[in-house]
Amino acid sequence: MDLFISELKRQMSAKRFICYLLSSIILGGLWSWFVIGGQTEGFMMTGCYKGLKGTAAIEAAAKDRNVYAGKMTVDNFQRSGEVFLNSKNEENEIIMNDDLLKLATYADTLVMQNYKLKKISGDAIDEDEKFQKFPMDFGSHFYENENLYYKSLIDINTKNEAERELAYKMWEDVEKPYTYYGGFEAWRNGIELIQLFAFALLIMVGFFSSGIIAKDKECGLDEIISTTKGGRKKLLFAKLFIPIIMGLLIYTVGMVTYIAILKHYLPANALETSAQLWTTTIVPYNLGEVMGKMIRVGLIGTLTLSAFTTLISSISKKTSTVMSITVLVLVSGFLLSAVMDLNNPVLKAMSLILPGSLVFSFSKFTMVPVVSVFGKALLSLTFSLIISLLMFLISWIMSSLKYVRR
Amino acid sequence: MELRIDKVTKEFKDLKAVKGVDFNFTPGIWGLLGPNGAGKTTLMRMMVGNLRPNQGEIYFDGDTISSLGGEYLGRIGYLPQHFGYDKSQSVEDFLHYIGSLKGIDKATRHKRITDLLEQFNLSDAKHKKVDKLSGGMKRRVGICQAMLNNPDILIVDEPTAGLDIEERRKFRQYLTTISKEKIIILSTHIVSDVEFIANYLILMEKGIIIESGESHTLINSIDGMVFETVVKEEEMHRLEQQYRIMNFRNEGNGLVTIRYISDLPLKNSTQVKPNLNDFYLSKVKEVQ
Repeated sequence: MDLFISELKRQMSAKRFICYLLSSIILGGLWSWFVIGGQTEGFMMTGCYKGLKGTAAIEAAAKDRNVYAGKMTVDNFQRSGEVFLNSKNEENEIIMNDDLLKLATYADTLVMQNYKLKKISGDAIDEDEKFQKFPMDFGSHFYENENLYYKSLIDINTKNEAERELAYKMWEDVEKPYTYYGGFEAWRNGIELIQLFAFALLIMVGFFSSGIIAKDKECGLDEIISTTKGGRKKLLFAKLFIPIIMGLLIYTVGMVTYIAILKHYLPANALETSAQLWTTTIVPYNLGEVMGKMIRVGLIGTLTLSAFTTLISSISKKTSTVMSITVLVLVSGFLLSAVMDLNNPVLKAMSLILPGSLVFSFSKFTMVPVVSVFGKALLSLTFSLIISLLMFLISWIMSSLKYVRR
Repeated sequence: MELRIDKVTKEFKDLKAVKGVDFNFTPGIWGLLGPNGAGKTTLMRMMVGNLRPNQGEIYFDGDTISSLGGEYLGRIGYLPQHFGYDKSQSVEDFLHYIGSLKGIDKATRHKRITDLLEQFNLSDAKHKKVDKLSGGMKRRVGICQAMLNNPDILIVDEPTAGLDIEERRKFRQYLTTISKEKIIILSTHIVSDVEFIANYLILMEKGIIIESGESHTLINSIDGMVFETVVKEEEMHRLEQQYRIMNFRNEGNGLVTIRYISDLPLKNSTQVKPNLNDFYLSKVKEVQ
């Protein structure tokens, strides 16, 4: 324990410790300010909340939309469909009115459903008319149409019976009618930006962990350490755990700052909004649950990246080389997981294996996120978690062997 | 107590740094001398377990040092040629860190660090960052860390590099004080450092030991062969080809006093008492 504390003191000098934590707090503040301060509201480019920005826009839109908030009943969908169709003039332009403002979330969801149904069934979409044309009673069939759409989506996106069964079960577990509360749009942006925020935090984690072993070799201290009674063997525990502790601290402090600010400024009940209003997905969660899972999964990704960086640090003789490799791995993981739409199985496998890419888990919650391994179907997120934990263990074992045996 | 080097060879990619070295170290101060690339550092790194020999073994009291592991390392102190430290650590923190690695309990460590800092005149600098110290002070910190566990075997590679004359004198005095019942091996380029304190000398060149033994015996082996004479400046080049000239001093008027080794002295030469420098230069030249 004495040695662990000595190493901890060495790696985390007060100045360094404060610098890292302060950076993650500042990043969390900036990110949340970007989400809240930059938020604008509207409805189909009608400019209904023009001139409003940030909390003013969120509050104004939430005030209108909360009139029909809560369970999204078929009656409200039907009413919104009628109001929407009646709000269009001869030129097919929407004339904003109070009723439409109050039913905007319903109308928006209906319009999107109409578009998605047409797209999945291969019907022609008139780009001039956009996707605004639907029958007057369209809203009264909302949940039947949702069933139709998601079942087709599942059939297209599953490869075998096991995957299909799991996907159907998940879709059946989705609570219907859906729920929404005003302000969920801001939360939706906040959740989507978690990936980018985690990327920034992970760069910091990588920078901290890079020197954990390589710095000793670089400055020549390793030559002395290895000739002491305790030597590398006794130092191993500290070398493995300190990057983990610091990684968790950086990630947790950053995320807590980010979420705390969002929770302070955004309506808390909006987190109860169904995930289906956030994106096309069969996951039976609300926004709060999606966010919680993304953050927890990100934590595992942080652990894996810390362990991986320790491994590279035990191999390389230069801290700068370790940093470069870590950043390269992170950027590749980010590009493959969060930016590119992957159809190539090799790239898909790479995005799974790359340490830290688990933090870019947005895609694990959208569409039909199921995979099958040896005929057994499981959630993509679970599969990624298993791979990530394996990577974590492999990195730790290899670091230990490399460090002690050197 | 005995540290035995048994036919040890160490090869790197395209270089045989140590070639079948066979030697026994017993308590006393051993001066390891040799030009750059002689294999001194490689031999020392093998003795502290940082390098493994390709052939041969190193034994401590009959057991191989690899089988003794921590037990052996707990009895050695080592100061490498390039002393490494963490830039962010203060002198005191650094010594505590190394002390905890050496398995010394906190109370003993505290006392030992205070004593060593006092002994090496570093008490006032204990809160300063090691990186901010002068070269000589850094070297003294390095010596302190090697001495923390009061080792039975002290292996120091170029310990006096960067120290001023007074610091070197103090260091020699310190080594003499602690040398009782300890094996102290120090390698250096500075011949005067070992001249007065080393009981034994080992002369290495090109990976092999070319001479070894008690200091005075080795020095006496060239007694009657070291001379001084005054020659003309223009004769210097010719004489350098024929004799091993250890030293020369310009006397003005085109004359130079030379100190050389030879069985047959030049005319008008005065025989002088040999010193370690004479012995070292005569032997190193021989191998070349």
